[in-house]
Amino acid sequence: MRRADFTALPTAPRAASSLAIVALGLVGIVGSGGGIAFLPSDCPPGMDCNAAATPVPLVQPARVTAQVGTSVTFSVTGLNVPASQTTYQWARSSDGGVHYVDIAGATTDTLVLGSVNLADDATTFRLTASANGASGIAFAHLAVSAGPGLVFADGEFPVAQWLAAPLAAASAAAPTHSEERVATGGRPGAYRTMTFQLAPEAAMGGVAYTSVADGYDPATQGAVAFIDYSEDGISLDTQSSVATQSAMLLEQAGRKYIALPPDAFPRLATTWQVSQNTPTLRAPDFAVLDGPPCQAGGSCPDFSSSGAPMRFGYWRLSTGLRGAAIAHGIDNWRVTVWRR
Amino acid sequence: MNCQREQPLRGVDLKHRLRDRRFGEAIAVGECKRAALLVFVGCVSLSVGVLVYLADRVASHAALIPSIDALGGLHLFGALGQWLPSFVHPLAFSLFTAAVLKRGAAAYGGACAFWAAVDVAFEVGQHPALAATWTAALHGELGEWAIARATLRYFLLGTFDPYDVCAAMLGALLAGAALLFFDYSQGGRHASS
Repeated sequence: MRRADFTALPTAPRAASSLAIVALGLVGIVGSGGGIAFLPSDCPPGMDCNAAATPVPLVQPARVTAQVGTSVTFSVTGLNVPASQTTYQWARSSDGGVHYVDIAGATTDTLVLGSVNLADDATTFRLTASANGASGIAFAHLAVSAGPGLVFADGEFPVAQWLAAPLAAASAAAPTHSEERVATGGRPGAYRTMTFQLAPEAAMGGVAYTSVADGYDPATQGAVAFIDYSEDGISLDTQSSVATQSAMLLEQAGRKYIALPPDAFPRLATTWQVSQNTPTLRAPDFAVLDGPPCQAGGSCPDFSSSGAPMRFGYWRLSTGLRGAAIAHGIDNWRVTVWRR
Repeated sequence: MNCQREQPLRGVDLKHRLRDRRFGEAIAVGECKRAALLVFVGCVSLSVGVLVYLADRVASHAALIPSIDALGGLHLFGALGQWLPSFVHPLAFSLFTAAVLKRGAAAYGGACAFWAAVDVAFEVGQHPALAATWTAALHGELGEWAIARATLRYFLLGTFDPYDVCAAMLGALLAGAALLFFDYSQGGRHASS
């Protein structure tokens, strides 16, 4: 009978056996539960093991804009401890989060504001979730406008409606670019694709897109209180070395601004997703992307009634290997201007 | 693989012996025994870890470990039971991995370092400072995948313990030392690759 020669065991079975052991080991770790919290036998002397069970609540929406007289609801959408063990307390702040006052009776996982008014504008709500002697907090921001928002939207993307301006990033040359309206496959229906050809020495490239269909003139249409922005985006490249980010674009008085999201610029996924959903953008939430620097003491951008006319759009920044061609798409571009 | 017959080796030139089919068979038998021994020791170690969950902890909290009433609450390990599972896991899996790898300090070191890193990473992942990250991930795209969800729940519900980190590293170190000792003790009988 032929014997197996272990010393000459081919690489493939060795690799397969190793992988199987690794898989078993990982399953063993996760399946062990990791020393589930609250077990006295797993709590080392001198440590407060309950601290590991700190509730981490998530509140949706984290930011919302509403018109006077409408209802707003904030809800807890995530918590890492059982809801049955958790108590809640909502509080509100009218001074930007410096001081909070508990809202009487607001002790459930949902806060309903029946009819908001201008006094509720710029209010921050804080939820405190408590369980097992520990607490976690989450915040929600409310903006209130006297009148309805003025909506600029494009879900069809006629080619003639958009201007493109490639921008040099850092010391690298601007990319070449091409755009196309695709009739189907969007979210739903038509959408727009963009392909950036990075310069040979550049690992990133950005293009500013401006809608020329409409604009907003604060002098005739009123001072801007804040702006909501949303869009759906998709990365049409599957290589992990490629990333595309997006932001709202605002043009005013020869300057291009991008809206800074509350956290990092999200990276487009390879399936359609809401790539930007940033409500209640105020003037300080924008940063100059291109154009003359802002004068000291100047309003950049100027949301007041003396501000210059504005146009809106979006900005895309792609990063990848030098000279790479990077494709991505956009649909349901939407800007809502709320007036004072 | 037939592990029944082991050929006696005598001191003749190694190059000639390696060409000898009988010598190859002898090495095969030796490797087989070595692998079986490593797996056996690993299983014994792992059993001790499972026993901690059965006797000292609420076993039902570990998804893969059933509860056995006869053992529940025995508290066999006392204070040691707090860190024993973290110790035996890298120990056992380093031995299992070494059992399928070629002999050699590099392979042993790699296996032990890998399991030490894995166990330490999974322990550090339970640190409360990372809870917000895991919670956000759980409610994002990752949360739609069962494996990712289980892993994130492990991080969120597990208890971070710096002593577990030490135990994991010690377990891997002991495995490495045991493997080298085992090879050393077999050195007179088998060629090391």
